[in-house]
Amino acid sequence: MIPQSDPRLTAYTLGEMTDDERRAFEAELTASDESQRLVSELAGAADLVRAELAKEPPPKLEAPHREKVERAAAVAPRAEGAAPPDLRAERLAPVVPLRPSFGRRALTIAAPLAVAAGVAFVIANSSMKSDSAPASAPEDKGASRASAMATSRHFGMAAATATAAVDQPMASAWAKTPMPGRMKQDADGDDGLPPTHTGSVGLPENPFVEATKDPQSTFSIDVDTASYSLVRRLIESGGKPDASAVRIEEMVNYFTYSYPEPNDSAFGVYTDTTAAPWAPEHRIVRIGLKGRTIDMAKRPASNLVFLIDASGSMGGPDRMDLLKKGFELLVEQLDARDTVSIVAYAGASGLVLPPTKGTEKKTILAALDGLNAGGSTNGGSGIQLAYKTAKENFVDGGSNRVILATDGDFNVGITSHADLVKLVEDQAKSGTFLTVLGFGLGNLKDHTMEQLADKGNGNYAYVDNVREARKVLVDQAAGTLNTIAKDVKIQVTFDPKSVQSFRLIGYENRVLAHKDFEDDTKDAGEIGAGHTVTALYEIVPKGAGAGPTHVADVALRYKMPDGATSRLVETKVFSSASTDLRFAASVAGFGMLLRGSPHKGDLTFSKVVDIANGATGDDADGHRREFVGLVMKAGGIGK
Amino acid sequence: MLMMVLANPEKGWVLSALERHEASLLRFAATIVGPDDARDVVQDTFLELCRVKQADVEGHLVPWLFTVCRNKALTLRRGTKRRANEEEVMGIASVEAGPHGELERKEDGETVAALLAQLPERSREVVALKFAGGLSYKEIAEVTGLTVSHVGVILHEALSKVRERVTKRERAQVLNAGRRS
Repeated sequence: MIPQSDPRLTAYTLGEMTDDERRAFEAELTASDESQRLVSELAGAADLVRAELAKEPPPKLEAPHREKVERAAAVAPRAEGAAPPDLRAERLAPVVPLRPSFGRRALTIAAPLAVAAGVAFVIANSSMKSDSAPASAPEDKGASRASAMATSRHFGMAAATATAAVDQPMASAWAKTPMPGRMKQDADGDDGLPPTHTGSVGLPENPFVEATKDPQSTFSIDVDTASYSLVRRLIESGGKPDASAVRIEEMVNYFTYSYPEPNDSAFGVYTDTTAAPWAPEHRIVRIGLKGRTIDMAKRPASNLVFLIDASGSMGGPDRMDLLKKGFELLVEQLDARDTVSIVAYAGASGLVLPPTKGTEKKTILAALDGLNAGGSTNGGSGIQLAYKTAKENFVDGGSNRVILATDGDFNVGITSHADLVKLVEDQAKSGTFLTVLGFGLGNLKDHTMEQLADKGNGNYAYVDNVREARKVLVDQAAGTLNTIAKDVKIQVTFDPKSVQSFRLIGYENRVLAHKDFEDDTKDAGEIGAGHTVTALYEIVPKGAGAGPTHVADVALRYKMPDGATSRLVETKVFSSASTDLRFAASVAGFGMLLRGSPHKGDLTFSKVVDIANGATGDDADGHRREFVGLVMKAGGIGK
Repeated sequence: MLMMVLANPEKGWVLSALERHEASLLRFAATIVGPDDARDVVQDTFLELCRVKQADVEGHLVPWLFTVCRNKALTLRRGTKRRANEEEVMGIASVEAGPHGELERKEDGETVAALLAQLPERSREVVALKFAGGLSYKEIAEVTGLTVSHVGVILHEALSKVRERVTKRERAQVLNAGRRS
């Protein structure tokens, strides 16, 4: 047994070991249940200390402090020997004034305007009428929806081979944020980046961009929801999330919005606008995607490999126990079409359950139940074994997927992150996708897990309780298991005549170079069956012309799950501001408050509560009411 | 890349460091001077950063920031102390349990706060760098001048104290529950 005074126990808990040290230590750990218990108790102690120190102070400098630094930074000496600024960075527009000169004027959607390529947003300046009043233009809305449905279509595009040459930049940028065009110190200067409890690398929010300077905005979709459940967990345990843990798009996407079911295509595209809750003279423009729903009974066969982290740190009710419960929920829905295999790494290593039919639930559940956190790695390469198992049982036209469940310990048999990403990417290309489920706090490498799921054509969910497990693995099982379109990219072109400036809310690490939109070798996000994806822009409208105004064109590209060539989607759907969009805007506002966003204006937690409260809709699953409670807790309201 | 960075690349690097590290620096500084003065300390740290060349701190930005922040915080506390007749100003000790925590959490919090306050000055600092600042052992060694293995020993001792106290309390609760039933 390892003596209690051995500092390696703590070093192991805190992830401060090299791979060799860790392997040697885990070998010793296996021999003693007592030592394994110590490790998991130390991890709990670390969580407590971290939570204690996170209670105060407020995680942001106050305005006077910040402004002082910003003024000084403006005259900071230029980096010597630093690379010249990226040419693309030169195109960045300066932040424009947040308040347009024409004051408060309600804008209302009037009539759509079809534009040859893409979707036209139309807003009309109809004086002093709020768009939340449905009386504004009912016939127009009806007509536009109908015509949009009628003209909804997609084009097959000229083939561009989607092979090779993707790995290089991603692999080398691993563990930093893989964004082209970041500044030098971002790419090179942060080797000593502290491993915060979420492992996150925070990116500044997207700034306003002047439409006359660069009217385009290009990004990849993101269906992850982990940031919201992680934030919820942190707030509920009395802490405050770091700005870096708050990915607003994941918070907005946690909720399901009532976009109509697409008719015959893989997904539908919907747009609407409303006043910004934090700056009423600004507009929120929403782009919503809804993936085609697949009935669980008619879904394609699945070949699932559970890759389970059984290392010592996975002990405890919020990790291994919850993980088992979650997988049980998933297994309950499987049937004769499906096979399940289980691979564990660290602890009981190797193939724990060979491919087993979904009908043999007892066998599967017994194998799950037999898993114990703790013990050594036998040097087996867990993730390679998982992919190998998936490949041997590959179902053509089915859902082939490795589901990785971990608290962030990536000792999965591959030592280098670059190799790991490359493996995950290669496997995604050959048809086996990766879903990542995060558990526990402490050594959760939030950012790493998001990236892996991103590269693996999968999704990343953070599971903090059984309810969340049910949401991901039961309610949205069809979407979690079945990808219906991959490499989904959106390009919005704003009309400088009606838009002064715009800013994409969230999606900071999903922004793409404009030219990548048409480049089929560039990876982007996936959408699962029934998933909804929501992107919000804040725009500063310009001028006050009479009649309908063209605001933007939207174009979308996606590939079928097994396709290499992208398709272009055109559609035009309008509705006026709905309960849905107001709710989405309140979630974005909450994220901005948590991040201490410079764009938040006079928004307060109470205001978010007011807006969200009036926009919970039917809320069958209760997620929206839970959100209201969470905001109240974060804002210290009504206690 | 569109919108990825602030408009001016020259001031961008300081602001991007601010965005990224202010929360952990504030938490760390608060353990030395308390939450209110922490803002001044962190502001001064970034003003200092404005005066250096980017190339000079590249690759060790984090230890640099925490070293400067620590020195400024300690200087401030020495001043405050002298003025306040050696009255101790300890951030950790004064932290109260959050208003929203459940009872159990709160008990944990009080236990943890009390334990941290009892640690020797140096251990408290190492704990703050690790858990408030999120620094690695190596970075903590750079900031404090201790060796990496010494940092490891200090953290293990501190965590073990918290672990023992919490486990003891849990055992007591189980016993109490047993008695009641």
